[in-house]
Amino acid sequence: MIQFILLFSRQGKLRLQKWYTSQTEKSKKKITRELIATVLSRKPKMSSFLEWKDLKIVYKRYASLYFCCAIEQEDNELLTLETIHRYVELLDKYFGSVCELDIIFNFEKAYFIFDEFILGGEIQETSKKSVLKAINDQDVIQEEELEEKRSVLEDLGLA
Amino acid sequence: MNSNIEMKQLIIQNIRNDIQSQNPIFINLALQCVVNIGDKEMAAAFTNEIPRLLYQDIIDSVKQSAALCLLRLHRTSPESLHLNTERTGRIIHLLNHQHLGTATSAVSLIDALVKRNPDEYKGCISLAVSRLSKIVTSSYTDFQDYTYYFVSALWLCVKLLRLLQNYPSPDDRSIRSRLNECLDIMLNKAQEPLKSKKVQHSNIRNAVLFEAINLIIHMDCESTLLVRACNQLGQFLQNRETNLRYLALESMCLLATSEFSHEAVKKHQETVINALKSERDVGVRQRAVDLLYAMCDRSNAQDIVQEMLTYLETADYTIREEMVLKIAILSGKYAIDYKWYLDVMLKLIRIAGDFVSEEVWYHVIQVVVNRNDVQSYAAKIAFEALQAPACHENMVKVARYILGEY
Repeated sequence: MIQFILLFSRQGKLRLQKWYTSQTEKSKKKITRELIATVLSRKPKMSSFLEWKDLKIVYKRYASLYFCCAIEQEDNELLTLETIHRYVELLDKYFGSVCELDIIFNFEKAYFIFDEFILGGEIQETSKKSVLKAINDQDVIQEEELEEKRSVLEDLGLA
Repeated sequence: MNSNIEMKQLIIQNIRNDIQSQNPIFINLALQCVVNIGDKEMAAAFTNEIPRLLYQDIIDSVKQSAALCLLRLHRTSPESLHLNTERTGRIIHLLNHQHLGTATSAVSLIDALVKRNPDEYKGCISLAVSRLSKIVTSSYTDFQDYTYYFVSALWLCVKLLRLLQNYPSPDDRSIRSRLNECLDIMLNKAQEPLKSKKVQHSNIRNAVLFEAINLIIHMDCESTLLVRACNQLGQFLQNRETNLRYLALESMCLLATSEFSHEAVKKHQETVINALKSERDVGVRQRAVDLLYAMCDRSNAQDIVQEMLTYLETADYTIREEMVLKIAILSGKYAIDYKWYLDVMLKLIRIAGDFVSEEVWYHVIQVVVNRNDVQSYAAKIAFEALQAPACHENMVKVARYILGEY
């Protein structure tokens, strides 16, 4: 089971975080700080895996962003590496060649994609098409509701 | 929000309305919400409502969310989930579900349920094996969108292999031979040329392979499979990818503990020692030390201890303490010649005195006290060790005792 996923930039700024086990705010901050420092200090030729307390950390760098996943002892490292890659592919497809700014300004979408792809720390849907369809369906509903509100406001002469 | 019970009741009621709605998107979002919050109250409210979604005739995407939602609630409060035999049977049969996404999330749920109650879910073994064999014997083009870099349904595949590791090797002969056949095919596939130069393709092939090897090690009864697995890992030790070397060393540690493959692992001693000298990543070197420790026996103890001592002089501070302990254990366990043992131990204290714990040097003294034949030798080398310009405190302690007595 995936314990948590962190996305951070090369400068050490946290961009996304998803926790699948309950932690206090304080311990989240502490874990994040320690982990970012550890991962950033590693050299490019080193392996993508490291042991950290009783967890295994799998990370990969895409352009200026680090994707970092904490898994349990019994989990498969290479599979996690590809889980990260699949998530990046999903972001890429949704945003159309994704960059850090997309994630900063549309972080809620990135979280929605997480929810469709990984649920409660386990992989849910591995088909790219199905995930993107679910996200698009949500977008349509959101749009419709916005439209409705706008028309109500217009009826009242407020818009 | 914790204190506001009324608020919480309202939220739960709203989610319940969504779950009971007809629109699958609403149901899915509600389930996701339950998973993300997933506290005790939610578990109490929904644990026995969600299984319904698994049996009903409902769109697949809802089923898969429901399976994972149930898993999350089960983790939060295992005691609130009650399933009767008929229901467990239906859950197990999700393994055979034609929709791969549903099967994938169902395996996660079943894995957790099996861990709590292995006997009740025994039926899943045969289903898992047959599903697995269907996947490995079919072509990757059969799976369309579930094929990832030419490997089909890999998430499902890996999870099935994990699930099977909850049980010993199947009793039923036909199931067992079918499973062995699958594992055999998987090992064969690793020998095929790569279908793509992309790192994802090789990663994913090896992810499945490593999980298959894990299962082989877990069952620990098919010596041919074990030896083949070991040879495969041996190839990885020379691979250019650091990740693969890391994992190969780690898996080999497990292989070394099996009586069938211990000898096969020993063939790679040379390579592992080289890894210790040349690897740039401390994590990989640590794995190499672990493996040397695991493959050590009476026949190669002298060489391995010698190599470890040499490496210890330049080793990173983070792994020194562990290494000292390992060297001390190995040289104590496999010592034939006590003079050799004393040489090793005194050298150990000289190189890494800071990391030698009290138990370690107490043990040295115990050996000397009990063995009359080495006492004079011990006194001689202890005296020589003290001649060095700088001496560690632990060395002084050991030498003081030995010289005082003999």
